Amino acid sequence: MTIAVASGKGGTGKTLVATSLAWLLSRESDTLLLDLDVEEPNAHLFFDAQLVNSELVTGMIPVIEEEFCTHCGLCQRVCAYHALLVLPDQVLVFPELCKSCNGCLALCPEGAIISGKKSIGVVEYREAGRLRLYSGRLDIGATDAPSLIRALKSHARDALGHVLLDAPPGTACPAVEAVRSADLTVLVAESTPFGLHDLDLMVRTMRKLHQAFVVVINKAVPHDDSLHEYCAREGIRLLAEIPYREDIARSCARGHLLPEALPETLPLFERILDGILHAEEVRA
Amino acid sequence: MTIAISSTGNGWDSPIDERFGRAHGFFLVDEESGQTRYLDNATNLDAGHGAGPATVQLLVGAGVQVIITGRVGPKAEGALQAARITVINPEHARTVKDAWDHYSLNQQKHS
Amino acid sequence: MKEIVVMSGKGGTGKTTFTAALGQLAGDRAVVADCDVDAANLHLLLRPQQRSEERFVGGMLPMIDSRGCSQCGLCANACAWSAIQYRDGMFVVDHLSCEGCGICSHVCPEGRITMHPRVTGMSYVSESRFGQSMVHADLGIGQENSGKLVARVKKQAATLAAEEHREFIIVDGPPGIGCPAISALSGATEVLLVTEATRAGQHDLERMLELLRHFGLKASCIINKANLDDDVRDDIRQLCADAGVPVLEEFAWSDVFPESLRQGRTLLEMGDEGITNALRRVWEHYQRNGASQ
Repeated sequence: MTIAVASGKGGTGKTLVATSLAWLLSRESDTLLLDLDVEEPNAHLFFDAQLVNSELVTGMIPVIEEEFCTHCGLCQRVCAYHALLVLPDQVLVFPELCKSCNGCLALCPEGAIISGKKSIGVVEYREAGRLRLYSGRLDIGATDAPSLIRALKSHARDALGHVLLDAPPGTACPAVEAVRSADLTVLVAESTPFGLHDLDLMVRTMRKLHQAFVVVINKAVPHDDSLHEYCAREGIRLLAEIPYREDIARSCARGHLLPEALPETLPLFERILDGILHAEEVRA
Repeated sequence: MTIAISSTGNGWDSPIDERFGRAHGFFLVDEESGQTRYLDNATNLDAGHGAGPATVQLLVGAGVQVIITGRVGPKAEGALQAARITVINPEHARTVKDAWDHYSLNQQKHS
Repeated sequence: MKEIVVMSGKGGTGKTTFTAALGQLAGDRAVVADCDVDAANLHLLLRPQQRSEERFVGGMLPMIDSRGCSQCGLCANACAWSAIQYRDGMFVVDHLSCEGCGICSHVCPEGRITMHPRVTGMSYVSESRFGQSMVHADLGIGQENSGKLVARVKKQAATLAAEEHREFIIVDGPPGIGCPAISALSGATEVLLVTEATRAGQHDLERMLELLRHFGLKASCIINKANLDDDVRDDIRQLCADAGVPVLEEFAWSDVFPESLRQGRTLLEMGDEGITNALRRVWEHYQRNGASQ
């Protein structure tokens, strides 16, 4: 089963839930965790896992073979991203602007453009017991997060056992790219009006994508039941609540796995996991 | 020669736009004929990043040889250099007219 | 004009909470802008009255005219994102995968693919309850190019600030260090980093500091939830010292923060003297260094 953990808002506890579930699963079976928050990957901080290898992820950029180029300007005209500038005596390529659509390569009438490479980021692979963890790390200054997310997701194809996806925050294309292939998405919402607002955005996103989802509330306090009311009103199944407590916050701050560091939270995560693995939301 | 001045409007009294890639537009002066026209840069204003090179494209297409503007980013600077467009930064110029006067004065000094 | 961009790398560190407080302190000397267009929250604290709204065209989208289509499939082959799929006897565009490059329209031998503007979000100009103009936006679900919408919000804020002769633009930035973050930082004169004393906060701050170095930007820092772990806090202090980033204030983990959100109040409206004084010192820092033109 592929399980995505997502939230519209950042800092709601996505990584806390994803790492805790991955740890729990990996005690019993082979488990794969993909940290798709490639701008700010954090899942590896929670495991005592050795870096096994690191793979460079590249994107295509055009390389102009000047001896064949007639400076006709077609490549510049077809490039929607302004990554090429054709001057009378040379063609400038701006790799940061290129989105690797291959259009210039396909359309150059002289065949004067060949395929080059630019670095987008790396995929790091780590192991801890029966857990395998892949993290994406976007290059500083790079903007093509979706390509790196796609490269990461390719590692889930031949995975044995369960796959957990720690999604990036937001509702834009990186987040969508992350949750699209999941059988079930766990939306982690923080118990504040910000959390409610962003949960609603995420719920609408999931419905538009026809994705199955359930909700876990984090930082829950007894006097705020706005998220419960929302879920009841929308007919969304609420799996569990993680309480707002200083000891939990401290444990996470130190990069500890919550159910390991605070064993009294173990039944809570077992209940979440059970709710996911037996979710009726998942279409057969 | 065609000279471009980054500006927020189409007139000699328009304030100059300190930004290059994200300038509202360019006031163009044809030195020989004295004719002027305005080149709108609205599409590049909305670019998330990479507004600089796209703006250089616009200027190259318009046959500009000199650009009078404020801040030029590193990507645009390289592109302007490759396109052999001279960059002039007139400190203290507030309007298109100020910038033009500054440019003309310097031309006279050098000729 | 001074543009203060509030950034964090990691989400949930308190960026919006601090932006709202600075906005309140600045009052009508500033224009505020919410550049977290993926999940905008600043309006929940500033409760603005909307003045105008505008549709945002963030890119182009192809339309395939199936009547003249010879079903050659060249478009589907040329698409680097596999966004053109053969379904129910015709080629259709998957809007979520399409990046708007337009190559399909160039390769179609029948000329049956045309590109059309794609509305990817809305931007709004409003008046916050602190008597200042506020620019905010919503990105449509699953849309890309949030970096472009961020640029639009910033442009509108800059135009308003010039028209209204405001000294400051205060920008609530997006999380991360990718496309939207880079777009939010473009043109910043000051960057205020809001981090938290957690290992994840520290790790993300390191990446953010690298990004700022990459673009040659100067920053100051606030450490939130500073008492969660002393070792982490000390490491963050050291990181900031090494990067030449002054730590302006540290705030302890406290119920006042989530409670302020629940009550829809800014931190200053919570009546906590220590927090209020610390925020005033942060604002004084920006006023002191506020060489506005």
